[in-house]
Amino acid sequence: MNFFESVIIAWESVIANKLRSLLTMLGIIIGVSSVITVSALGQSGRAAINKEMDAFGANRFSIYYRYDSDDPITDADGFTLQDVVTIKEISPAVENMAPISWDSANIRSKGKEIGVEIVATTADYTEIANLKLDAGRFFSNEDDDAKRYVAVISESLAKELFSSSAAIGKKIMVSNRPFKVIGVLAREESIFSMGMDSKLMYIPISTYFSFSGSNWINNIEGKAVSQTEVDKAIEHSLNILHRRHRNENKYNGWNSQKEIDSVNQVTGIVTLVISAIAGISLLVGGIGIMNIMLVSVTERTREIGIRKALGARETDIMIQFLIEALVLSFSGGILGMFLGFGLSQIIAMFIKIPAVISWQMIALAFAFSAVVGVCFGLYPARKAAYQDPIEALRYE
Amino acid sequence: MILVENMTKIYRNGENEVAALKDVNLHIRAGEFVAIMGPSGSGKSTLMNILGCLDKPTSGEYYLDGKPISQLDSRQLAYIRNKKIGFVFQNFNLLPRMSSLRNVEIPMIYAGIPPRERRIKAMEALKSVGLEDRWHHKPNELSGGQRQRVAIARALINSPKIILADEPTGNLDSKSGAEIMGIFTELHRNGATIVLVTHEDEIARYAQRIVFFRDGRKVDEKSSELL
Repeated sequence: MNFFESVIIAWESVIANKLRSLLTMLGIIIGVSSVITVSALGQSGRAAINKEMDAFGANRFSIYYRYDSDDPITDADGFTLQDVVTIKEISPAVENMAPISWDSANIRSKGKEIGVEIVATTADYTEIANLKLDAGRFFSNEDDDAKRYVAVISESLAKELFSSSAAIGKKIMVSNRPFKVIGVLAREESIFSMGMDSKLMYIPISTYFSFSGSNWINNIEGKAVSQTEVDKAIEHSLNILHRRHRNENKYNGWNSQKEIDSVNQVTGIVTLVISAIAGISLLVGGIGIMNIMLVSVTERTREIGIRKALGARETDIMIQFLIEALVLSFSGGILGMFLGFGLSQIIAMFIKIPAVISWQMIALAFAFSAVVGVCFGLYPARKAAYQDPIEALRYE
Repeated sequence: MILVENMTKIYRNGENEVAALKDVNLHIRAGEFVAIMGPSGSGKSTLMNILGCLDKPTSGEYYLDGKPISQLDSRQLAYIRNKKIGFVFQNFNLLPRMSSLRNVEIPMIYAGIPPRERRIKAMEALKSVGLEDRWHHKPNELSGGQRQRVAIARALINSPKIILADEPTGNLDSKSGAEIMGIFTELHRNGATIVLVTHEDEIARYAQRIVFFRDGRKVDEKSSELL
């Protein structure tokens, strides 16, 4: 029998039992649509994260304290400004470095009081973190050396206190000391910020030391000469720090590649779990198809008998029912594909990343449907093919 | 053409054994029109199933065109059913979801005839039984006589040498029955071999020769003029 005709005949029988066919396909539809949705969002999520990491800077790294070691971190272990200068001088892998002290404070301006994060650092930080300014300038080494009370504030803070452009030259009171705003940062678009921009205030680190009385540096941000030198830059930094402080295992290094790896690991696990769920629903869908095909074979026992009496071979009958199972599973696959596309577009709209739909996914969906159709259609088709023609003809 | 030698068919139903045919010998020559008569349970239908290669005898041999059927596999049997034998059933056995035309096309599908040619031939066959204007009707839209004519068109479509008809008029009124028998007579005149099962004397009279069965045995055989 002609293959194309068998497909038409099978399609007619699917259409003749619309509701039954749709319910039968449900498992496949859910399976395929979840595979498509998960992989579309997984891929675009990964792409977005990688883009984010690239923007963050692939050669960036960070040095911080190890709080997981047995002996606690003491004042003697603390980073110093001289540490930063020394590492920059000695390591050929390190291009630039800046110390950072974090603090939080309540600031006042024009009678408003707002809690902010203070980031105290050196002028080099702007180059390392690739900070972009909306207005004004970042503080310079001279500002730092002279311990000037100047500040660069984030866009959201500027908006809350003043309108962004009018912020330059305004005064902000921190612990009763007036800071002059010299720059406003550009808003950062990031999937991690989820539309929220934190209220940050960057000030020179020497100014911070002098007015806060603390000289504690929380971490050191660095930039390697190239992406391939990041590991070496971290290694050099750690060695120099341990030698200068005569200690060991007190510091640790971090770079964005590690972050990318761990994000990929998490998304990989999520993908795996949801794929397993999709796999189970495909299995259930396949059993549904097998069930309905067995019903169909029984219902059409007489038809099988008639066809055999008219000269159908066992293979003809088998192919007919196999194609019917395939038409069911493929229809389910196609419906599932459209549903998956729709779902991933909708979810993409909410989490604001574009859904990536590739031809590999379409191929995957089709392959899944085909495998399910053949695997679960084979037994009913064989059962149909090997019916005894006499008994089949007598079946009422 | 058809030669049956010492044929026995035993059905096993659990512990019970029922002999549907006992030591039957039968010879039907090419071009003959034979009626098989007998009460129900006499083995007529079993014989027809074996002659139609739908069933195999328990012992004995069935030669079709001189070839022993027991030697053939299921694929070859399907070929014989497709090309050499045309079945006409009491209950028509049309596929209910398909039009008359599609029903007539079925044997040609398994003969591997391309769709366009099939359609033309099926249309011709429907025309020959006077149903060309009913080609798109489904079986439930046709009368009994019309259904049987569709079934005959289907049985004849691959030009088989043998027509096996199992009570073809059993579900028809006498007028439709007479029409159907007219078609068989015409076929016989054109050289077809026809084996017909019936329990009605008027129907059997259309045949040349009548074979009587009782309790699985052939009990008598005579020319239809003696009926």
